[in-house]
Parts: sequence; structure tokens; C-alpha cells
Amino acid sequence: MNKKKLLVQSSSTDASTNDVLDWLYYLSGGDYAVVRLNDTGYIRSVTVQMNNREQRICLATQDRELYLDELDSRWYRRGRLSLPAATFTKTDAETFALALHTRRYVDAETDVVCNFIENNLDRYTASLNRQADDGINKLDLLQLAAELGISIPDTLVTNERQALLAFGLKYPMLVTKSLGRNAFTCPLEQAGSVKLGMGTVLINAADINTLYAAAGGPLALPALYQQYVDKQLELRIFYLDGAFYPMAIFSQADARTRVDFRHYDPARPNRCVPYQLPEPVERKLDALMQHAGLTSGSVDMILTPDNDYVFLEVNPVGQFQWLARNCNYDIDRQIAAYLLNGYDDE
Amino acid sequence: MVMEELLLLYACCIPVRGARRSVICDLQRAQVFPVPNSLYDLFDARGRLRLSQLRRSNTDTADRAVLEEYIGFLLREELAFLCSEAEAPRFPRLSREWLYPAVISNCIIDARHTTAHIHADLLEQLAALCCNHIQFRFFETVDRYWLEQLLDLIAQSQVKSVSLLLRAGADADSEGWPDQLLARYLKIQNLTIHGCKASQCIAWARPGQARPVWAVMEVLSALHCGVIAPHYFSPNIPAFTEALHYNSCLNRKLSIDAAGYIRNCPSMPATFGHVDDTRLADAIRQPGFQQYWTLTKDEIAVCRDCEFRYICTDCRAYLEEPDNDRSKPLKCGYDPYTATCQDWSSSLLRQATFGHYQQQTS
Ligand code: SF4
Repeated sequence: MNKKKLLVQSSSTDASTNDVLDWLYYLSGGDYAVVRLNDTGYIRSVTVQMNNREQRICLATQDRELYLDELDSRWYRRGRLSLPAATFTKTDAETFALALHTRRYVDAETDVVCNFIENNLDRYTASLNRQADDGINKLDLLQLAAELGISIPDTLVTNERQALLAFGLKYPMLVTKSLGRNAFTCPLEQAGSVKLGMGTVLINAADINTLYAAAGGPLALPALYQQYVDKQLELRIFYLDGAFYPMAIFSQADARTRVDFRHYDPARPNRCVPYQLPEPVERKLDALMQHAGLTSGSVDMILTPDNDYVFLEVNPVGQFQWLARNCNYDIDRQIAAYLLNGYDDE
Repeated sequence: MVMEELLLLYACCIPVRGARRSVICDLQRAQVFPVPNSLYDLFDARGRLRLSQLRRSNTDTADRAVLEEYIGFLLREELAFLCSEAEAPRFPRLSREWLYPAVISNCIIDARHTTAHIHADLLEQLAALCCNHIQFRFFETVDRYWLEQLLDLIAQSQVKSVSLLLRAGADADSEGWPDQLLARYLKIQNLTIHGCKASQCIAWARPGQARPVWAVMEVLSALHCGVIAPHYFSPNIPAFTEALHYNSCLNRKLSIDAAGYIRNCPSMPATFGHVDDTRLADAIRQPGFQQYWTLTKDEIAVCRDCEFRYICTDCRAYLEEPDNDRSKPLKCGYDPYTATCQDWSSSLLRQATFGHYQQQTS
């Protein structure tokens, strides 16, 4: 008997993936086979066959061949579909430039094939998340949230000094964070690699003045600046197909416990407890996720001292293990059930 | 109108009432706080304490001082926080469900030295039961080559963690071997070497290392189990929710004794077939195998009155009254009626009872 097939794209170190797979195995009684593509294991080859009678797409990994039409469901968690990279040796400046452009050409060719496979994965399988979710545009989401009537922090994206200065005069404290990726990893010539990134950074009027004082035209990059939002609670909300799993993080413990001095102590992590969102907030967030085409994701919000729910961002492939464990939420089981039901419905 | 002020326990801080006193189990920070029953009684079933109301009704200065001391303690330890009546419904309680995706959560496999009972097919049977955690207990010196072959087999299986008990002698206590094992087999979570010579009885536990190696002088046997002491308490969500609904020692456990017989617990007399002729999945479905799985501490004498009942590991193998399968574990020296503790083995009566178990097995 042929087992049902589930394709999981993830990284080998992602603990959440293993937890969900444990549930999947338990719920299905082992009646399915998992094909796991990890970012560390390349697809060895791809073959697409198309004519007026049939279409077949086959991916070959190190140890197996996988026909897309045999898959029952798919879970995109981490990583990218990628083929073995062609290598170019750079000897001098000229061949370096040639190699660079050849590289771009080759990448574009490969992308067409990989995207085609992605689109087909979406078409033929019950899919939880897509690779495209990973690159979702932060500004699109902020705009969408604002249009749906969800509070967002006052936001500026600019590389214009004057605009930043004016914004800084309006808000004594700003935050800035990356628009695209949070961090990138750069391989080093000799050994290993470095990971570079900055996370969310607070800036104040003095920082802006320093920037402003530096001579020259526009700033090097258009960047995201947002008004700093005062917190009563931080909310981390996992969303899955219309259901909400919210967690409140008491990061401002002093306000509620009236303990006004806190040392950072790993034995006393911030309190993280289950939370119940007001119904109107749920409704708007649900609309946001649906408009954005996201079946699941982690939403970051702030509850302000004035009881306003402010939307910060959605991480479509965020970690939810921390949230599930602290709140005893059955997220792993629900994802497994979602993937299993996917093929029952067909 | 005055807004009613509440003191609300964080959802992960769960109070449990005992005969003499209560505890607040902090399941997030894995801590236990003993508190007087009078404090427990101030909270309603949803963990709420009506602050303004209490302050109004406790006008006596002495009572009021005690009340304020309680409140100060709860806030200082961050066990509770202040909120208004209107906000309270935003903070639901923690789900009491035990979430564990396995038919068998872990398996103890005993052996004297090498054994023919552990093979690829057995590991596959365990995989089918979603059993991802195995403890091997070798009571005599084990052949190094054989053990490494076994660990190679496990390295390729779905098993996630292995706990090893080895007998000193031959290679096991030689300097360096434990390190090599740990370096080569990443699934080994902890390694205990028993029967070490007095001169070598160094605690090998490395502070800060998540995969400790312990050397102990005692020679261990299956009788070395069931000891209940505060440092074995597990104030965390999985253990607490399991204990609410199931037996905290026997639920979803499986063991294979040194002779190859299948058991729920290695220290209990009942066997359910031999691995040579019984599939594990069939053994656990035999009548009696799961007999104690749903026996909670709420049904066990003395324990049912104990404030530690949901963070304490039970034991059904060694009982205070050997003929009463709902009596308190023998190897517990805690008395919830006086809230005092003594070493279980210091009681002559308990020693005599343990002697009875020792005779049974010899
Ligand atoms: S009385 Fe029972 S519940 Fe309490 S510590 Fe002893 S064994 Fe555990």
C-alpha cells in the first residue's frame, strides 16, 4: 500500500518541525511518508516534462526521486528550493565582472524553474505556507493593516535627511529596523562565516542630529522609522487558518507589579501567559491574514497603556515553539491536523 | 465608581492546596513556593483575589498587616499581577491538557552486559509507538565494541534521546571514554557510571553542560528506583498536566527487563510476554498493562492530601502498604499532615517494608 506523502521544506535544526512531525506521525498512525528537504541538502536535479497529454515534474535529491503529482500535502517552513550552484573562478577584475554577470544570468534561469516548481506545489498540494511568504513585504502589510483599521505606529520610510529630522521633532523616541531581512550570513575567505544584522534599534533626537549634521545629499538607504510605542504588554500571536493563539509578554513588569527595579536574570524570564484578544481585533487580524494570503504566521502587537492594540509586523515563518510551550497551546497538533486534513478533503 | 482591583495569579503559577499548607507551582520558572492555606483560600477558582474587597473587610490592623505581607510576597516573586475587573477576562487560565504525541513516551531497556534483545526490529517497533526516548541500564560491565554498534543503530533511528547507565570496569571508567561517547553519539543526553572505585568516585557532572556524566560509587540495580525527594520534583507544564490526568510514573511507559520480558515498569512484578514472541504493540494492549496509567495522585492515600501531588513522581513498585495498590510510595519521607520531611530510609518501618521487596526479587 502506498503511504500518503508529505513534503516538508525546513532547516535541519528547526525544532518546531520535529515537534509537528511527531504529532503527524502520532495522529496518522504512521500512515504517511515524510519527504523532508532541508536547506542543507540540495536538490540534485530537476526534470519538467510537458506536452498536451501530461505534465510531470520530478525533483531528485541525494537519495530519492520525488514526483510532484504524488504529493498529498506540503509544509513550507524554512529555506529555499535551490539547485547546485555553478561555480566561477575569479582571477582578475575583468573575468570577475564577467563571472558576476554570468552568475546573474544563471541565477535568473534557475529561478524560473524553481518558481515554476513552487507554483506547482501550490497548485497540487494542501499547502501550509509557501516559499513566497518568507519574502512578504513589510510595507505592504503595514499599509494593509492601516487600511483595515488596525492601529499602526506612525511610520516613515525615507532617505531624506529633512524628512527624518521633522519626524524626529514630532517623536522624541524612534525605532528603526530592517525592511527586508533581519540578518544575513556572509561566508569568509579563510574559515566560517559572519552573521550580520541589527534587529530593532532605538534612536533619539541626538542620533538624528548626528545623521543630519553629516554633510552630503540624501542618506545612503531609504530606511524604516517608526514612532516608539509605549507598552503595557507585548503580544505574540500565532495564527493558523482562522484560529488565534495569543501570548502576553509582561516585559514591563514594573507597571503591574510595582516592582520598579529589575535585574536581567535568566532564572526570571519575563512572564508569558495565554491571552484573549478582543473580538474586533481578531476580526481585523483575520482579514489582514486573508488579504495577505497567509494561512499561518506570527503577529507582533503591542498593547499600549491606553489599551490600544498596535500592529507591528507578521513573521510568516516565525518560531512558535516558545509560545506554544509557555501557554500550553496545541499548535503543533493543529498544524499536523491541518496537513493531514489537506489530503482528506480532496 | 471605584474600579474593583484584582490580584491575578499568572496563568503559569498554579496553587495546590495540601492538608497542612499549600504551594504555588511556578511552571514557567520551575519553582515551588510553600504558602499558608489561608493565602490559598483568598483566591477564587480562577486564581483571582479581590483586593479592594479584602482590604475593605480586613479592618483589623493585624489581619491587614498579614494581608499586605501576602500581597507584597506575590508581587515580589512575580506570581501575581494587578489588574482591573474589566481586564481580567483577557487573561484565561492555562489549558490543563497534557500534550504528548506518543503511545509510549519512553522505554527503559535493562541488560546485564550484552543482550540479544536489542535489535533493529525492536527499535522499529518502538518507532511505531512514537517512542523517542530510551534509557539503557547495564548492570554489569558492557563490551565497548558491542555498545558502540548499538549506538550506531540508534544514531540512524528516529530516537531523539538516549540515557545510559554503565557499570564501571573495563573501559567505562577509563579517562576519556565517556567524552568520546558523548562526542560521537549526540543523542546521549546523560551518562551515569555506577560502581566506581572509591578513589575514582569523582562527580563528573560538568556545570553548565547540558549532557552530564555522573560517576557514582554505588552498584545500582532495578531496586534503585522510586525515590521521592524534592530535587526530583518537576514543576513544569508537561509534568504537571500529566500528573493531573495520569500516573506520573507509569503512564505510557514501557520497559524490557534483562531477561527480555516486557513490562510497564522494570521494578514491578507483572510481565506481558517476551520480546522474542510478543510484539510491543500487542503487549501494551494486554489487560493489565495500562492498569495504573490513569491512577492519579488524587486517588492515592496520603498523596491526595499532599500539596506536591502534581509535581511529584509517583511510584507503584514500592508501597508503604505492599498489599494496597493505592497506598503512598514507600520511598517518600514527606508527611503532608505535619508538613515535615524525613529521609525515607531513616524510618525503621519503611526499611522493614523495603526488606520485603528485596526478598521478593532475590
Ligand atoms: S506524599 Fe505523595 S505526593 Fe507528597 S511528596 Fe510524598 S509521594 Fe509525593
